[in-house]
Amino acid sequence: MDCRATYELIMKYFDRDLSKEQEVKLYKHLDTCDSCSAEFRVLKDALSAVEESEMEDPPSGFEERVLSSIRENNREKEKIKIFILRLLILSTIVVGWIGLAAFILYTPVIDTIFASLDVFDSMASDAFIFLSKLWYAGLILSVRIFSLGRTIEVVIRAFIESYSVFMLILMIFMSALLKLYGYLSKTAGNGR
Amino acid sequence: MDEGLIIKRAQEGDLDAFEEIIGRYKKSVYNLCLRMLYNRNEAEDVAQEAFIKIYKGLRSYNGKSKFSTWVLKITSNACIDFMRKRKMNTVPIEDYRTSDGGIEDTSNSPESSYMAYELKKEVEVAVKSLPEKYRMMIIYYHFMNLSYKEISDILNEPMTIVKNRLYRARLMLRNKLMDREKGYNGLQSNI
Repeated sequence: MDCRATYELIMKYFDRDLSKEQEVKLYKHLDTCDSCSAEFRVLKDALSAVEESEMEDPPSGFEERVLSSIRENNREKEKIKIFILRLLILSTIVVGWIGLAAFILYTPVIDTIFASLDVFDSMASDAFIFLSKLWYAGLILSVRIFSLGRTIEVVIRAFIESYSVFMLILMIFMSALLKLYGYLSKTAGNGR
Repeated sequence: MDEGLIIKRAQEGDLDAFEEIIGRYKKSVYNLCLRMLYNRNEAEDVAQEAFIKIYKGLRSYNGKSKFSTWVLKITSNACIDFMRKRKMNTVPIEDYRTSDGGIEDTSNSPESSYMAYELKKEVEVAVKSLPEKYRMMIIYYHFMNLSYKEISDILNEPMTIVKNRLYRARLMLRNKLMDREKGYNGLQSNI
């Protein structure tokens, strides 16, 4: 066996991966070859010195130091989380208000509301005043009836039912009238 | 307690479970740092840093490799990062010797114990002088008793490369020691 093949066996020896047969072969060559034998001895001494060297214990309090620095870290994280949460809430409020203001100022909704108010304003006709007075009186009456109390609840219930039907009819009538009024004023406008 | 359970509890943020993990791995983590950095203060700092990284990365541990391998991988990366920084800062390295407490004399006769001590010191100096890549192989395989599979998981290198590198590391170590022997013979120590 040559020295090159021995090198492979030596490496296998230190891998603890040598078969009995290979071991015999290795030792046979080492007995006859001085240079391989010297190299083997040096390597064996060195590696067993490494393998035999003891592991040191870490300094005392090691765990505690790691844990306290982790706790410190967690606390920092918690602080950052709370800060971000606060920032989010604050920005939501600010952005919400700005958004609401912008919505009112820059969307057509407000125009529509004002326009509808204009329509009511222009409806100062006798019929409208009469109807709105009637509706107001009905509202007041209903509030009074409701405030009569539970003692006459049963009587009232029957009345309310008929009253509410009346109110419903009145409201339908009123809206029809308003519609008719709007139609009439439009056609009048067109006629002009 | 079962390690899988402890890991699971630690992943859920249980610090007591993590303390148990530290207790189990502190020795190998600290010693790996010590063998890589050759300085006790730095080794402790980096070992602590490694455990903090382990804690932060616990959720990403998926059980593909052994937990011990994963721990050592993070540790060795922390050491490599530290060494890079140290190189950039070029801080003089305080010399480390296991002689102040590390090595225990196992033999009885004073002469043989002295010889063993001398040998260990010599080997230590030789290992230390190897390039980092090769030094690591000697430390992983012969000091920490890791298998090829574990080393290949730690280094993310195929087993064949690990094997070749270890063989080369052994050869380099042998050459260093043989050169030193020659040096002694020629009365020119190069310590």
